[in-house]
Amino acid sequence: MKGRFNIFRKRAGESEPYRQEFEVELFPGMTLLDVFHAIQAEQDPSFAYRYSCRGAICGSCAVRINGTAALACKTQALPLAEQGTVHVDPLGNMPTVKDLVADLDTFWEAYDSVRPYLERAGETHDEVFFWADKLDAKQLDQLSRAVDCIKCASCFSDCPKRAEDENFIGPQASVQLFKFFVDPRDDLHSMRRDAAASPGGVVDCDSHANCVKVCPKDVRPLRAINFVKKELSVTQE
Amino acid sequence: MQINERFNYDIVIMGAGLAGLSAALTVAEQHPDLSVAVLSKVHPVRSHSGAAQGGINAAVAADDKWEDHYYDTLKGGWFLGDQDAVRILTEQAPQAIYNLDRWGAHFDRDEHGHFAQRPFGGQRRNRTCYVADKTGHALLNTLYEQAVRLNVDVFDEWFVFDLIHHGDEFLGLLAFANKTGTIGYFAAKTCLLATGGAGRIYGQSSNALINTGDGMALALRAGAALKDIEFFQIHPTGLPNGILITEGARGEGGYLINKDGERFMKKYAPQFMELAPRDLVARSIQREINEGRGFDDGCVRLDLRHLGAEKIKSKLPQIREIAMYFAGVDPIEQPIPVRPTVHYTMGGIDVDINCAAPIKGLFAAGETACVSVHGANRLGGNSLLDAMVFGIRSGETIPAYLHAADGPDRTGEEALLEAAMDRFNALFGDDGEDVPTLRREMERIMVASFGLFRNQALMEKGLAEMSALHRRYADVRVKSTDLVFNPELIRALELGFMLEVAHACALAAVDRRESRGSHYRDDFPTMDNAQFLRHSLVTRDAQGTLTLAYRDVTVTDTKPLDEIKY
Repeated sequence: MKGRFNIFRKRAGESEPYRQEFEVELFPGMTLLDVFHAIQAEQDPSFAYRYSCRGAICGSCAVRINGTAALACKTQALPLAEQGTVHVDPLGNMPTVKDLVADLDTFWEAYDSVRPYLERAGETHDEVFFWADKLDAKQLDQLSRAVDCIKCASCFSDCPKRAEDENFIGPQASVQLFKFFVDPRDDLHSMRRDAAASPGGVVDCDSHANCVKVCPKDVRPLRAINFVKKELSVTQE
Repeated sequence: MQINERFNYDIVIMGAGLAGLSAALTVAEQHPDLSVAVLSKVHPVRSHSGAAQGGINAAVAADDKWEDHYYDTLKGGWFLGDQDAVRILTEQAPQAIYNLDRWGAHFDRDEHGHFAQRPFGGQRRNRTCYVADKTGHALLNTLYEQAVRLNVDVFDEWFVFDLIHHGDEFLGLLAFANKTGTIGYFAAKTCLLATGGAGRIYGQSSNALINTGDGMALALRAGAALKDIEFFQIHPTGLPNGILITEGARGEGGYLINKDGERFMKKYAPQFMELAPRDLVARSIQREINEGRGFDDGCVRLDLRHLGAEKIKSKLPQIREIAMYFAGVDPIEQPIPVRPTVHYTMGGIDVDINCAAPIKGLFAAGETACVSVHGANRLGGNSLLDAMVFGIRSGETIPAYLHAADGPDRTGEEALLEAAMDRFNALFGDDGEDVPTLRREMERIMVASFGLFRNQALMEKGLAEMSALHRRYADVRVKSTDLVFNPELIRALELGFMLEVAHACALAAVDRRESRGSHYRDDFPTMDNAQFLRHSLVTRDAQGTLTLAYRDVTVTDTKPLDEIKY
């Protein structure tokens, strides 16, 4: 069948956005990213979107599909198009560079702001290390989910708190903060606790839980945020 | 269009996967006085290193020896690997693991708190360290985190389109920024090419769409050689779009069936059936397809239905998800379409054991390079390792080179830049060859003539077709001159890169009259050490003419076998 795709278009620079409808012949197994490739190759060579692995591990191709952020490569086109015209937009909570390419600068600024790296004194590795000595099963499970994060910015795009407060670092950066906050090897624990508690930090999350719904890797950012919040309230008492 | 911005660095690194980032981190830690820029056409965490699942090999266990890892790698590579290079790979492997751990990687640990290790094909013991089933992703992100910590200058989404050199001396890279459209010239004393593989020259590939051999082509055009570029590893089971379905599906009892419903592996490997060695399974599937017993979509089927919903859900949840999301098939209800898919580029830029190319100041590491360590076939778990060990090593040898050498002679640089910009500007215009059409033709030739079955007639035909196609590329024109996220331009430039690699592969493959590792010929089915224990070297002159030469494999202490058996 032919699918109909109503796509957000914007040329580079100051030009006004517009919408354009494309018809694409769909076959079983085709993903939405395949649809983008077909449009670019056969209908409009200037159509811009991000891609890399097309296997849901690189985080490049997140867009809004019928209003909700998702990875284009992980979305089957046929069942979607059978329900009607598919609306595709760039990620929200950020400006757009061109067509479906969002300007991720604010997303990466929030990421950088949590000092997203292990800081440890000394130059050696751990010959012997037991994660289970330092973290309980729930924390370990959440840590593994945090490692899964592919930084696709879907959660940042669809976070209602970020939409109303651009000081809020958003779910992804909060997950990064959690990752190092619970890491027993890290030396910046007190700095991270202060950062989490300061304005715009993890504590400002309003628990809308959109991040949990849109995450393509089941990272469950809200759960990571709640771990940090709980830790903060314990140490305050 | 002209150059808008100029940069000066001691070291410019092209590519920000495991090799490029580990090189940058090594320099930043050990030589903070040196300036380093990392350029990547995507954001670093989008690099293809992140797609590696299984793990990274190293003899870190108390009862393991690097010498055993060394021998397993040599044998797995059908002895085409240089023994001095393989020694470095395996002897330095533990240090790569220790660096990654120190940088924050979340390696799985065993019950004693040591690095957990899993078994991988072709190795005599468990030697593969891992982070669950997302090792590449976890390590790539760890390296990027440390790059943030060390304030490495990362130019993400900058596309390198030309390499400037004066004779055999490197001068700099020309690139444009996707976000702004700025054209920048990165003058540097040295350059590390770390752009990954070129699996995208094939129509069926597990590689990310960005794996278009950019660094290999730039090096070839600059006068460096591509070594052993006829060797591409092919995985037996990929979805129609190339994404891998791991061996685990067959390990749990999955059947391979053709369109007649026949478990065809009984014809090719009655004892081992679906669990025969990878290359044999791959050739068997391809033979079924070639002889008309594939389905209409050009695939056979991997049938898991007899395992039952419960077992599929409990034992193979990942495979089920992959099939559902990327092929639209639920393996509980339908068999999965699969066909062989190109997975890894064993060959690459000819560099010595210090990662240096014959061009002064030019280095390469990782899948882009061929040191060589993988020989004719790479062992699972050795690709992340190659990127790490030689990434780190180049981060040590480049500073040593800078210490010993003066900067390049920049006389005549402006004229070279002008000529390069003329070449770039000539790419734009209205009427020309269509990029998607040429790309599809290249992909078709590679699969048809340089895939799982190679023979003289097929490859001679393929080489002639590829030469003709390559000539047509001169007429490609890009309509839109806006450099901001211009997919038409990027795809055109990438096609130019891919054609260089594909053409070199074709030339080297025709002349290797033996079967070795991934290079399988039905007209020369055995390996021939007397004639071909040699590296192929393809070079290109300024007119684009390719020349093939050979160099003996470096043998130091281990006599190559005349037959490989497991």
